[in-house]
Amino acid sequence: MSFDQILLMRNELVLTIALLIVLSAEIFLSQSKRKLVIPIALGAFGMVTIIGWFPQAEGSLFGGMYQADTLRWIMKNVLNIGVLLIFIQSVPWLHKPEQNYKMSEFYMIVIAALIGMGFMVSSGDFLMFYLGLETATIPVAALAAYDKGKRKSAEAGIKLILSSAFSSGILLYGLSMIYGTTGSVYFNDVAQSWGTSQIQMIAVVFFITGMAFKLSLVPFHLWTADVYEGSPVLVTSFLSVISKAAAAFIFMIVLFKVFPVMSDLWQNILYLITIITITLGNIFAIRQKNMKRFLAFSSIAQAGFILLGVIGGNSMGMTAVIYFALIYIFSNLAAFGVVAAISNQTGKEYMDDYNGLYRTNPKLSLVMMLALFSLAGIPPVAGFFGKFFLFMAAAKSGYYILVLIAVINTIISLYYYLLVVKAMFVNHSDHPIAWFKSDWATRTALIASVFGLMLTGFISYIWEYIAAFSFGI
Amino acid sequence: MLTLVVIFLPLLFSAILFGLRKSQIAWRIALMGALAELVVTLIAFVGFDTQNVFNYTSDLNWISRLGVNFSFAMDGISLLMVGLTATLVPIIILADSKHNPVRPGSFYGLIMFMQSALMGVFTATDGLLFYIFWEAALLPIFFIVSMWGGENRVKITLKFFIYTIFGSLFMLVALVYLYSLTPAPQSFSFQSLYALDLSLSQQLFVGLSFFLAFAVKIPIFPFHTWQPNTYVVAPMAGSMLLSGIMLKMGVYGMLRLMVPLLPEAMSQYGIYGIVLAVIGLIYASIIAINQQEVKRLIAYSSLAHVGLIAAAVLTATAGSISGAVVQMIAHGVNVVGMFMIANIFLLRTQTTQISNLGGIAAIAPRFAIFFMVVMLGSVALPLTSGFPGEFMMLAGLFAYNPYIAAVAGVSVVLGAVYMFRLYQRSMYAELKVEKFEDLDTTESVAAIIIVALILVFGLYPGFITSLAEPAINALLAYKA
Repeated sequence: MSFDQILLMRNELVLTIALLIVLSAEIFLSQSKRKLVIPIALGAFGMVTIIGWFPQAEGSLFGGMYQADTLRWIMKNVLNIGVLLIFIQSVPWLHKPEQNYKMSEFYMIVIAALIGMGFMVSSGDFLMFYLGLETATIPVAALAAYDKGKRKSAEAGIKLILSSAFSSGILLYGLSMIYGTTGSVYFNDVAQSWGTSQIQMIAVVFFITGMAFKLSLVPFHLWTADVYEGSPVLVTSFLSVISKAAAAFIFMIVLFKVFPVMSDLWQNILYLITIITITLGNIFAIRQKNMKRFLAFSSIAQAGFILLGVIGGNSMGMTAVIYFALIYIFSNLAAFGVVAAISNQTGKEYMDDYNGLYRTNPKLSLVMMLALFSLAGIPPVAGFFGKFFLFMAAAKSGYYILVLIAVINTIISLYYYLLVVKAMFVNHSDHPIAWFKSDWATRTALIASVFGLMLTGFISYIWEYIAAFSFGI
Repeated sequence: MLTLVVIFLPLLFSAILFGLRKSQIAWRIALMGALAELVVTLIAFVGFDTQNVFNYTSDLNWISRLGVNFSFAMDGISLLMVGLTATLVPIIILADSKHNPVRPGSFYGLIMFMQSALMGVFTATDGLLFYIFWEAALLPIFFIVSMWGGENRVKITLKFFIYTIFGSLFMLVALVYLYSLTPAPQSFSFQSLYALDLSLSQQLFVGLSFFLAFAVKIPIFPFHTWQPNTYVVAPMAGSMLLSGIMLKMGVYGMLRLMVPLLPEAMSQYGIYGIVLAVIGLIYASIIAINQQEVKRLIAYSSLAHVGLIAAAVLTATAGSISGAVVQMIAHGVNVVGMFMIANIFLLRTQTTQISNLGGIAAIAPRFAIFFMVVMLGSVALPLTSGFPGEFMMLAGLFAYNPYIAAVAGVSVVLGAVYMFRLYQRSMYAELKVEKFEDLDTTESVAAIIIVALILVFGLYPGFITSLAEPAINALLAYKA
């Protein structure tokens, strides 16, 4: 294996180096200089993000287990941007004294999970796919239990690890059937010899079930709200944005590449799952009072919307999913950024606490409003374009009724997003959250997110670039 | 290029207003911006070449892979709507001089933002762009009403917002559907949508979706339930924007998307829409007669007027459509005048209950004349702006179906009843208010402009029809 070939894994290699840098900093810095871990980690990860954009050769490694192509390269960079925003947002939180002794762990665990995601996104066979998936999941369970003193956080960690172990079991069962019926685990080989026998149908169903757990699609979503509520805000945003985007991407790739023969089957399954995911996600979101739970259910509904791009099996859908992931990262991280800033400052996480926020903290309220409008998909904010292209992709394959149901759900979602806007702008409160000046890190991250969600929709270059590399069944 | 200036100049002023530190000058800057926009619009009127249907075309690439372009143009109807918006916004700001809202920078910034979005709606020639501006126009009015509105505003604006978005998402679905039918390379441009050959059932589906979107916005009975409450709680400028300009978006959408695209469906099923509109017309007129509160009365009278406009557009005949265009302009000016009057009542007497007003004509003669002219314009007296449009629409409806026209004609009488009743009980009768200052200078300026417009359009509606007719004929000719 030559050096050029190894460089195909550049993203994961650089991430590993960043991980090692943080680890060395943790080991060698004296107690009084521990706070330096934060700028070191930020700097290292900033470099990773920048290096990620250098042109990347295409090719495959390990006999096809690892694939590097432009589409995957785009996806990894999208994930990197999201994680960078989370890292920036995490600065004030990690500066708190109670995080002092474990702040480097946060960085290391996130980077480790991201390495797993990189391998998962790049996988060319089911073995690599599974390894990547597990590497991406297990560290996150540790993250969920990060506030180990808090009961809810520990509970979140346990719930996440149990449910992901359970779903991995189902997924592995499906994969074993795939191997059993075709004698191979490589995507290309499996795709060629894939038939329509019953056991193969069950394999696909198991595969979808396993992935549905990771994507928290209804009816496999039960762990989501508790885990999101219990975890620290930034971990929640990592779970709901980065993990989800990566899983949705590889889910789509596998369905398109490996199981096109069975498209009737999985399209029917996804059809039902999409409808119930969007509808139930929305209906439960209406009732939530805790902002984290609220965003959790909204993110369940959003995952349902992502499926609209997958179900059509066309290249436009693939573009729409990646494009939506990018916009979703900006919108959700802006929303979570505000929640995190307020939670850090005041410890308040309930919707009623946000009453009258506009009067005391107008800028934070504006950011939150833009983020929520983007999540709801109101033009001219970027979220509209993301959703719009997903609708277009589904309509292109003739799923008009599904689009109609999704549209009706958009209106329902609008209602609960507006509830928050209403709380901030219109409701009166005798004890509003007092004015506070957020630190530079929060501001940078929020400004970057706002720019992202204002501009991504209008810069058509992004869409066209992704579209050039997308493919359908 | 000019079109882009028309759209983005208000946006620029809006940005300035949002960033403003000194809030005392917000009103003045907003007025300046609105006047600058008016000047630009006047230039557009002067330079408009009636030989071509479309003028001031600008076409920029946007998402060209999907056939979405940043394309704008003005035909006669667009120009008239742009002119209406550009004229009304300065009047609205002038009339608002006494308001002193909290955070005036945001308040006037939102108005300018709204103007920008409205201009976009009236000039877009790309389906997706049209939709984006359509929704963008909703955001500022939502905040204007929910942050500066009156009692119970939250519940009412939420209903209003969700109701209208609900309608317009159906428009989006229909647009996407039409787009998916266009031949490769697919495109959202109106031209390529007009070129589609739709079967009757396809036309019906698309037509119903569009109708829902526009019927909520206009609003047409029975989709009107958001309207009276919203008008009542909105601050004056908000009511004016909503009734004077925003509901014209719905009519404009019908003209732009339903008339040229769905001729068969409109001739087959249009009658149902017309019947709904006429029911709403009579229903609203009857309710208006019994109103005790000025703003609510105006809301119902407005509902009645637009019912007739919608019915006229749905007949899809040249005569009644040009009547509708004339009436859109006339109603815009009239209703702004009416809301200004309601607001003057509120400022001077702290009430808009009709029973608490009376005898004002004796102590405020200038105000009485102003009110008189606006009222006469509203009841469509000949020589005021209300007359030619109403006459043309009723004539068109008569040719379409005499029975419906006869029923619709009753509304003219009913309109006279509730308007004269309002005028008589508030301005004559015994004096019930202690004091009532006459119009001051700023108000007089706004009032004189409104009166002048009402009389000018009443005497010379030919100005409007000569601009609108080539555009209307072109819209009708796409499928003929």
